[in-house]
Amino acid sequence: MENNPVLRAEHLGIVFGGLKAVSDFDISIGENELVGLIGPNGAGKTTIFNLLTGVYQPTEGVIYLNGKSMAHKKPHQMVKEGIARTFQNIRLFKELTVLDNVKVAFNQGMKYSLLKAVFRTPSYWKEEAEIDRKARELLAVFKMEDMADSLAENLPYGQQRKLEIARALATNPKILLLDEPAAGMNPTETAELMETISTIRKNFNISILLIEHDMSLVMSICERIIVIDYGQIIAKGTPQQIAKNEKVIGAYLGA
Amino acid sequence: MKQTVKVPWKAYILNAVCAVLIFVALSGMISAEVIDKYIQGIIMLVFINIILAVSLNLTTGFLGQIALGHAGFMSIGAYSSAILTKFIKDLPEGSFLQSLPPQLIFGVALLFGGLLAAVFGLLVGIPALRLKGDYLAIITLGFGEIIRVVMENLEITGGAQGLRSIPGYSTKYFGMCYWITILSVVFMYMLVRSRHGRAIMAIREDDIASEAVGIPNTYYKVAAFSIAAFFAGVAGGIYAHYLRILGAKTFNFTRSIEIIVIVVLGGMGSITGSIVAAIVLTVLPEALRSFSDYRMLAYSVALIIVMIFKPSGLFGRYEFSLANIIAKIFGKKTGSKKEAVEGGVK
Repeated sequence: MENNPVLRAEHLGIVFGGLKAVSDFDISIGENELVGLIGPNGAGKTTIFNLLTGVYQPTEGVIYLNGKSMAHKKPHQMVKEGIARTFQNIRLFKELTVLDNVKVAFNQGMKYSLLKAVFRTPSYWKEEAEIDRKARELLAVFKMEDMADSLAENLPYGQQRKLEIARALATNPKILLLDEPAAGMNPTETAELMETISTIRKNFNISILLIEHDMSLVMSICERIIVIDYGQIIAKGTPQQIAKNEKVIGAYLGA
Repeated sequence: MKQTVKVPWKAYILNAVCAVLIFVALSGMISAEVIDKYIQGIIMLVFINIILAVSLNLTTGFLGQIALGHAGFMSIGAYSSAILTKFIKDLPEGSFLQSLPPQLIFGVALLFGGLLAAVFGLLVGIPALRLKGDYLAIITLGFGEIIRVVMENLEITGGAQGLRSIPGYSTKYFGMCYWITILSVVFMYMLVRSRHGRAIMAIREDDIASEAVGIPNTYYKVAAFSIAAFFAGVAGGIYAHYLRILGAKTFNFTRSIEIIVIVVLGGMGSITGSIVAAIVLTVLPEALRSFSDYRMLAYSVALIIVMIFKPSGLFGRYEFSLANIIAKIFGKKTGSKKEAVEGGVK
């Protein structure tokens, strides 16, 4: 798997003012791998996500997607290269319908121009019909096709999380970054989420990087785990290795 | 899986028929002199306000950016088109440009005014749209005032005296103004209901998320801003050729606010709402003339009442659809989307 990593970053670091939020962060994720990123609150997990998706420009280090350097790329350009993400505090297009939320994410793969849209040329109808079909299919994978026409803000919490994942998948990514997908979920919803994640891996053949605080979830589904504290990696390994690592236990218990 | 995206021919034809019927009715009443010059003037203002409101709705309602400089773009279109038609009118007798049909000259002048306004929209948009919310509002406000002051001091615009004896094309070619209004509305409607419109609305809903699903935010913001500026310029051109006299005071800050009020009252994000509000808010002050001194008071009270009982505006984000209403009346279920409805409400 290390031969052809989907996502690779070396010596990634960012400084805010005088604060080194992240430093010397290395990561390499292979095809179809599921990696967990854990660490105490404020350790810099979300900052790493923001670096990897181009929201922040790293002050040091480079990110490679499929071997291509992502230096100075904007978030929407990186999406084109095959990275997608969800957010810790759900960010849906609340007053758009569920279907439109997904359709927006298909936009980057669509071609018809502004004038073609205004004149409703055949290419408009062809592409719109195609995207409508694709979006409904995607929703069907998540068993959400019945809600296609309701507004995103009216969905129950667990469904909103799912919709956000569906929307990210609509960009046709090679790697998906999930930022605390189980936050605020009850055990039933978490179980459903785990099922969703395994469906995604089966159906879409993508790699996943996951931030999560729910240890039972992380330990049961991740193949590898990276632990960070104060913006630095303190441990790497399989769930079994991490569970026994003293540094990790120390960081979490404050010992 | 059911096919849900198909060409709504029925709705298109229905709305086209309505647009033609209204046109025939209006021009019939004008030639039969049921509608006098005064009412015709009000209808012309309705047209202008519809174009202005619908275009501002793109930036304010659909893109979600509050812009207070719409009168600035309007004035660019007004002055540039008026200068062009005046220039052609003042050419020596029998020159080639003068021999062209005036409708063509008028049309080209409006297009020219719109394009120039769009260029300024681009120039202002690129730096200004890095900001949002109140900051953007202030910047666009400042821009509108700069335009006004510049216009008041340029020689080509007639300085503080203003521009006089502009050819009265708007009143003369009433039908042309009607169709330009219809076209503007159709343009916006088609734009908003496309992948581009979805992208623009996604930016309104959450600009971080839209960027994260691959929407180039800056591109769409600037594009929406200059498209709105284009139509404001066209409306300005019609306005100039209706008033026939332009003074820089015509396009002050209050004018921008008037347009914003129409958009908010009609419902931010509803094109048909903007149309209805433009009609109501243009006709209302005239209809209230009998109250003389209390006219503006009644106007304001009407606004306050709407805002208290329907803060999202008359229509909210709902679009009036003639096809759907007819389907409802006849008890049929339609699979057709709400398409092209503009003809139905004018």
